[in-house]
Amino acid sequence: MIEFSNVSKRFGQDEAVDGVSLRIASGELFVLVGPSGSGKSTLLRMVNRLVEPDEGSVRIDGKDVRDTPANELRRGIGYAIQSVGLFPHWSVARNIGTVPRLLGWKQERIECRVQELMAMLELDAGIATRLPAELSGGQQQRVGVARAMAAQPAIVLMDEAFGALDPVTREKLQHAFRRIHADTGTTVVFVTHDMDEALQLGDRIAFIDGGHVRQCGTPLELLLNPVDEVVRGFVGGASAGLRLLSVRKVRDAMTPGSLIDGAPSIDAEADLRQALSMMVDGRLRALRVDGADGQVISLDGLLAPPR
Amino acid sequence: MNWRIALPALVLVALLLWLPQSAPAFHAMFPTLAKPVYLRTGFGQLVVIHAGIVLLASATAILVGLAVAALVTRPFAGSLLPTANAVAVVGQTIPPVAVLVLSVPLLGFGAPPTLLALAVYGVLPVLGQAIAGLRSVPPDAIAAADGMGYGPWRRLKDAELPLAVPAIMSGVRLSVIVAVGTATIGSTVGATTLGSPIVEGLVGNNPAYVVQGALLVAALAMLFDGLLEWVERRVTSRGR
Repeated sequence: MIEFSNVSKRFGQDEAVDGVSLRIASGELFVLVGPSGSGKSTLLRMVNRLVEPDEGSVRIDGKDVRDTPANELRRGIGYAIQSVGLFPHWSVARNIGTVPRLLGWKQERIECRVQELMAMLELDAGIATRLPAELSGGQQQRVGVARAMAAQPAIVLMDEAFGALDPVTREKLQHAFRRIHADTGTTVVFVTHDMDEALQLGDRIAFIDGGHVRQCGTPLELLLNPVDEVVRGFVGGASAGLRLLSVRKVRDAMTPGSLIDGAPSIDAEADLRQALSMMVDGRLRALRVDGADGQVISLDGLLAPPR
Repeated sequence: MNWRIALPALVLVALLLWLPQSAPAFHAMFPTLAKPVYLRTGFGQLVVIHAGIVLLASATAILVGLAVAALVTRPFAGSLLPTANAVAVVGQTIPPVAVLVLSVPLLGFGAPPTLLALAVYGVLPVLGQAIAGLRSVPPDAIAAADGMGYGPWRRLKDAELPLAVPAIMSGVRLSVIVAVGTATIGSTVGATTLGSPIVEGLVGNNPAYVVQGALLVAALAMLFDGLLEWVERRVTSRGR
């Protein structure tokens, strides 16, 4: 568990973070979202002591981060940044194995872990010997994530980690990352300014603005009950309805019903936005749900209030 | 086969084999000279001493230059950086012969003042280029290294220096080549180098000696340049 207690940080005259308290549960994928300059990155960097708070404290499992030497603390926390920051003079494999090497793992164990991570992040094993400059942006970002997770840290910090990617690559990586998070049970703190990304990834989201937490809750809570106009403007706007569909799964809105044979079907784990898209595409009022006998997802189901 | 190394090496060997027997040729060129070939010290010996002085001085210069550059680019030494930079830039405008003359009162005549002058003067290009190289290391790589828990020393060794290598190598190359040329001037203060035949030829009005010394220095300088270019390519190719 990561606990921010009333932390503040000033840079010169600017109050970057102002009395923030947050509690992030173990295994949670927690997103800090907000406009640029809102203090979300500063907050993130307090966890691995790249920034020290002026006031308040950050605790990991009850222990103040200041009680652990900075380098030791950082080796136990994965860290991935937007610019990736891969070492340009090292091969992909060597980059991924950076922290295990710092921790003094045996060579075979490092090699084994690197292979495992490359498979997990769907990186072709053939690129292990390449240099970062020879990779695409998406591959570099995947290597960056693999490096952050290399030493099996209990906590991974990600600062706009998918920010520099084109939308298609980005969505793929978000998808892969959600799966990896679910498989590994790592606590992830993810900073982004992109609300769609926050809604897509987050178990819970904290909306940060002007160094304060304006609202903290599940994606659905933020969408359904924004506390004020600022949050409403940021989470909703013109696409509020579509976003609401995108954070809910077919499983949560399907109803018993019957359809004519041959009607197209959709996976129960797909989101409602995909369901709507298929209905519009096929000029249909309902779809069959895969693996859920006798269940359909219908337009009425989409419009029903969230359960 | 690297012709930039092989060619000067061949020329150097050919010169060393031919020069001791070149009396007829130089006699034909300069008929008035009684002794048309430099004999005081063997040419092979001169080349070895010359190269030795250059290597020793350059090794010292490279070590000192890198150490100072690494030191002044640390955050805690922020105020030293402009000074070191200024020394490196302004220092290179001082002619090497001035440094040589200044080191004679300190160390007397012979090889020691030459070594000192070469080492001091050789520090400057290495220092200047190493500072530039270390300052141009991508901030992302540094941020990532910090975030992963590199200590300052490991960060320097594993990330900053390797990334600054291309710049450092250009400084090293310049430093060594200047040293090969400047070492000849060492003979004016009594060091035995390939400058010895040149200086004696100039003083004694013997152009044949000057030509013999100059040919060997030129071949040696090109050989060093070829070798350093090869080293540079070896150490930077991993970065591409």
